[in-house]
Amino acid sequence: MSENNRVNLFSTSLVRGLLAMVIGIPVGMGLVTVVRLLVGLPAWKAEPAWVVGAVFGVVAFMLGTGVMNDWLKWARGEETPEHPIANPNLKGLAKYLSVSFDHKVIGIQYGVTALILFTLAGAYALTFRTELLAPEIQFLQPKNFNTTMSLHGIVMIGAMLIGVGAMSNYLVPLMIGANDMAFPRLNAFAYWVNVPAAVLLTLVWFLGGFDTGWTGYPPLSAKAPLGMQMFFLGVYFIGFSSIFGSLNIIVTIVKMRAKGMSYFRMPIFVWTAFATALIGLTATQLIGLSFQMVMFERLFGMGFFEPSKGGDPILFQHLFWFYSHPAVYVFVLTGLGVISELLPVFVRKPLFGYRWVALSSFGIALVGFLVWAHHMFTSGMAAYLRVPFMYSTLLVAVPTGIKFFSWVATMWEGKMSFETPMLFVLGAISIFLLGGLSGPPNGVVSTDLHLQDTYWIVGHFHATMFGGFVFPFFAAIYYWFPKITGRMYNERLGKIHFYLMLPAFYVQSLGQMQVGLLGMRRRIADYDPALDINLSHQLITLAGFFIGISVLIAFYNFITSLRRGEVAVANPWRSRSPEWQIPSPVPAHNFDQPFEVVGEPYDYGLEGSAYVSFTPSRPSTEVPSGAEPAAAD
Amino acid sequence: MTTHTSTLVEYRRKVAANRLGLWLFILSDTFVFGGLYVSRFYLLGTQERPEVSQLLGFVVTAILLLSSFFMNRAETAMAHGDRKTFLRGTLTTLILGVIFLVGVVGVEWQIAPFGPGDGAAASIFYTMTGFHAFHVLTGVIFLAVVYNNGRKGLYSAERHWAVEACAVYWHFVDVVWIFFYPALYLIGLPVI
Amino acid sequence: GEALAAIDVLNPDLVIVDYDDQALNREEFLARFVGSEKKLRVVLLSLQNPEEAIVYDRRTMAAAQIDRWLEEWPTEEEAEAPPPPSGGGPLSANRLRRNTMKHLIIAGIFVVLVTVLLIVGMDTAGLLPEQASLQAIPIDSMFDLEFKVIYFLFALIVVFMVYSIVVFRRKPGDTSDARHVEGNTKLEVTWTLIPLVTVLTFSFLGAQSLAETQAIGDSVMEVNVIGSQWAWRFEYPDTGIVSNELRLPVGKQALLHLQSTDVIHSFWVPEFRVKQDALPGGEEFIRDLRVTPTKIGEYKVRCAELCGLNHAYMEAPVIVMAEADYKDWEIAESGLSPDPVVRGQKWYENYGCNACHTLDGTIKVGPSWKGLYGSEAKFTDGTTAVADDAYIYESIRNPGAKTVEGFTPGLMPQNIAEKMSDDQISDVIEFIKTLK
Ligand code: HEA
Ligand code: HEA
Ligand code: CUA
Ligand SMILES: [Cu+2]
Repeated sequence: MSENNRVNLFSTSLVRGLLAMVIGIPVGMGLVTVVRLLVGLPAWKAEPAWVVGAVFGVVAFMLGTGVMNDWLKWARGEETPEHPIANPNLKGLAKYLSVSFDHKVIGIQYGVTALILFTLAGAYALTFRTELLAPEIQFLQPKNFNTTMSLHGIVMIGAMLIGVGAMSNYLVPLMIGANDMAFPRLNAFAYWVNVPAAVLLTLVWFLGGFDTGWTGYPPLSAKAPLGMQMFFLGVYFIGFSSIFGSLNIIVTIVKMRAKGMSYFRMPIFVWTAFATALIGLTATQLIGLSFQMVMFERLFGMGFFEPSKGGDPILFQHLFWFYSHPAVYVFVLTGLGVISELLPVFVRKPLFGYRWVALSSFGIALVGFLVWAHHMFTSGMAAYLRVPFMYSTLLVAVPTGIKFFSWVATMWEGKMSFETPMLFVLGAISIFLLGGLSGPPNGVVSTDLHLQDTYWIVGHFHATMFGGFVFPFFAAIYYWFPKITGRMYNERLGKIHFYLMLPAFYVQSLGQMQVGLLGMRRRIADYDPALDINLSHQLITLAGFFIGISVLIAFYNFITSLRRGEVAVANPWRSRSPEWQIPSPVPAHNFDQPFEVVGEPYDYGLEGSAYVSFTPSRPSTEVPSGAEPAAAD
Repeated sequence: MTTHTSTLVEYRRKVAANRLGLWLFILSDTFVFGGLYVSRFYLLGTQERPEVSQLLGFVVTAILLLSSFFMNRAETAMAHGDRKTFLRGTLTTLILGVIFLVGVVGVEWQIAPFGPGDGAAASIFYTMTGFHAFHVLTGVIFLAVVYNNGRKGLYSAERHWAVEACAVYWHFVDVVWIFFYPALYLIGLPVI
Repeated sequence: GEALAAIDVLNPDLVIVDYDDQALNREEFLARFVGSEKKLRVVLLSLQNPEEAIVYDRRTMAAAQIDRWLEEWPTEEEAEAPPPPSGGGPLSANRLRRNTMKHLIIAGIFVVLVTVLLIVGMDTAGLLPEQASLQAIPIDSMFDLEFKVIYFLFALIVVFMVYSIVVFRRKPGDTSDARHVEGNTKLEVTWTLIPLVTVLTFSFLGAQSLAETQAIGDSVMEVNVIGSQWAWRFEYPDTGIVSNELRLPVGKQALLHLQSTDVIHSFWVPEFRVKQDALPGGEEFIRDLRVTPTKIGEYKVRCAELCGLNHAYMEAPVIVMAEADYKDWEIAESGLSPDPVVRGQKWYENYGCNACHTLDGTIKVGPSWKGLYGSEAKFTDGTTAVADDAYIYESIRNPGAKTVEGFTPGLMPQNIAEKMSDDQISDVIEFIKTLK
């Protein structure tokens, strides 16, 4: 390590935020205690103390990082610079551990956080998978199994939301020719709030864990240990991140596109980021609300979902799935955007049916709002709801199918090459297909009566999430690695990663589906040896470990290539997209001069066509792109 | 709130983005209130509601509506460069907002014949009024900031985005109450 | 002049008409538009043939670029044919089409092969557990259909993908692009409509098979199923039996009333396929599930909804028995007499018949049961009937139908029979027969 790489940790926002959090939590607890004393209640009660303490901790964290400084200045009527730069002097690692308003830095912060959480959640998975190697309890008691399993689920989901944030933050401004997001301060806020949220999710372990899975159904969640509250709060704050991040993306896309970039000339990834943001902006509120309602049940004895108080447990499920179904499309739409974005580059052909692919993302997003009750076919909700929700659920297959068929038509008679990003794209398509096709049997009520809450469902959603997020995310990392770092990753290691992960994943997912059909329920620490599924379980576990190993290889690849990789050529994939027409790594203000869109994004094979032009044509009265409004965020 | 060195053209462009952002935020927030609203009818139907003080409900509603009127006046005045009316309107709105808060949290919550744990209707009542009151509170804080900065002379007829934002937000909170008031005070018969 | 004015009114982006068209002056035409700043959508077409407009090309570009683009179309003969595929060598359109057909046919054959292999292979693998209930039959045939469609769609896309990977891969050293194909609206519409029809069919059949699983059987017995953390309890209201095992006679539909005492549980016997959550909250939250076991054997209820610490262990035996064995078990378990007459007397007391009907011939509220069987009853509407099995059954099930002369109609509670099973009523009839 060279001299200037050494980091003074205490000067980084991360450490200052964490220190503030450590102070904030006891302050919040103290406040509760004092108030209780004042109104004559017994001074100490763990639950309210921890909840208020956690909220104070998060606020303290945000204040400690300094991400809100400019807002506070505005409130006092002070002026702030037009182009905010949080810490101009920071270099290297310290820059990434501190508040930055540059969308590229924030994108990378999101991305690394996602990978860390992914590893953590993967380690949880390997832990409980080891327990499931054989029937009977080996080493993980049911209580800890439930906590491990539930945290695996929610941390993975957090990792995906954050990973989606990484891709859209880094790529959208570059692709539309903006110099930053519309609201850089809000952008930084949306990233940083994830950090204390992740801390709360880890605190779960010290407060008794929780045993409800990631879905947190009451009445069970109303009775679970205190860890439940930390889970609710953690998810709630990650939700904040989604909402504000989505808002930012939408405004950026609507208001800051380069000259000439009509909606139907945006890179296809931008379309998916837009559709994703629409879901994130609106539906996320409902998971927050449903979790808050359970929190209030626990804190104030309220009874929304408690039948003995006139409540109804089914209501929770409606509120919860109203978010959590659309959320599954949040996980995958950007991933599908990556697939559509990379395919034409590696096939050297235009994206087949651009408009259809673009609009299908909106089709999926909008229909996705009308299908939530397919998670509740056996829940005992009003019986007449089942058939209408079956119809709406299966309709999603249509726009998704458009994507698949268009991808195949893009590949057909193309001139494909198989660098690592392309391998991951191809893997993603085949796996997402498996996951998608395992959806209709769940969506048909009669067959779902058998499938609900079995490992078939587990197989279904791992395939959709690996195919729709994990594989495309790795494809994106490999593909834009030279853009981000200016260096090439190691192609050989990249291929090893792929060829380990793909078959291992098929074994894992197909194995899960198989045992599920045979009677393996979800969320059990021990299974009946009579089901005769030991061998399958062993294979699933083994496959999980192979996936883990392949991911470690990828990390090794990234870290070594970051320092010692070959210096990348300017446009290694010969892409037409604007971000590849500027130097790598991208300079601080992205585009020295605004570009103009003069053609279609994917006209590969059309001699002499261009997508963007950097030569200034006529002087323009229009405002330059990359404008960066402030205030209101 | 932004620096005055930027040109008016740039300012207008920024405000256009801000305006979109604000409306998206409101759209997002609508989902929370919508969720609560749906929950209220899901649990209580149209026949039941909590036992609440009709007089108080009517009064606070009237006060909130009145406050929206003053907010509107303040904003219009600012748009015409009339700082005095703007300041007076903002202050009046702020005071009415505080009275509303006292009315709901300080009085209605205290005189209600039930606590938050007394059944679904009670839970709904406290949560709906509580969420709304929280928004009123943030609106009041926003108003205080705007008032304070307005006194310092930070806004002009051309540049007063913060005033506009504050007004839109305040009207939004008001509209939410227009939906909440009948749901909590008028529809159905008292059950607790 | 007039034409230009018309264009101004219509405000299209830009239309360039064939060079041969003498009416328009190209220079003047371009001059009007080159100055403008906006993006133009340009279509290059020929109107030579009066029947149709032949579109050569369409683009969106700045006006300044149009000249360069026009140079790509120097002579008329070249403009007639589609643009030469860049890098692909000069292939005539016909040969291209034939080539594509060849590839399509080969890939199509592979799709069929893989689909058949998958269907056969998976069939032998046996994906579902034993089928042991009437409700499982429509469900399994639905599964069967779904799986076949899934195999086909998986084969379709994966085969085409792998075929492209293998056949159309980039040759070493080739840096040219592939043929420029932007899309095909007809194809897009096709692959929107076919899946649409498929899923609508799925939904329709799904709704039908769901209805079949809910069909009411010929004879129905009821069981209250109560889930608690972490055990199942089964109550048989007919006999008052309370058990930790669910015993069911084969071939008879069981109507399960599911409820929970604490959190949500879920009743699932994989061999029966159907599943239903058991909700806490009492009466209002009881949910029903119908199962008609078709195979004698032992299975397990497996709680399918995470319900806390010992969710994994919340299993209970399900024992499906022959009708006769079941009767024996019922009798043994309920402590009832094997003699229907003795049981009938018990029901006479338990259900409160004795409040109105005496056994000694005196009249209380209703007719006495003494000597009732085989007697002739005269009704308020003047008709008569012999009191046989069917008559007595009808009188219990539907007391308001007929009223014997001298008695007030509507006194007997309508709901009394709702609590009684057919078996119990036949016990009561046996009992009445003995009252000579
Ligand atoms: C991450 C992304 C993701 C995606 C994309 C999907 C996609 C789909 N999901 Fe999935 N699902 C989850 C994640 C996802 N799901 C998760 C996490 C859960 C469990 C939550 C929990 O309980 O913890 C779940 C659970 C779940 C259930 C509830 C199961 C249960 O608990 O009983 C259902 C039921 O309908 C369902 C259905 C579907 C359907 C119909 C699709 C469709 O969108 C799929 C559409 C795609 C295709 C069909 C393939 C391509 C199409 C073609 C090739 C065209 C032709 C096709 C046909 C004619 C069929 N999913
Ligand atoms: C992105 C989403 C995602 C991903 C990638 C995964 C990845 C994996 N999942 Fe996950 N899973 C979920 C999302 C995901 N899961 C969700 C939402 C649930 C539902 C939870 C619920 O029911 O509430 C679930 C539930 C779930 C179950 C069902 C649990 C149950 O119902 O009891 C199982 C069981 O096999 C399982 C297994 C695995 C395995 C083996 C992997 C493997 O692919 C993981 C591979 C490992 C890594 C990727 C990490 C690499 C790191 C290392 C090798 C560790 C090194 C560690 C250190 C040095 C500290 N998962
Ligand atoms: Cu009961 Cu799980
Ligand atoms: Cu869903």
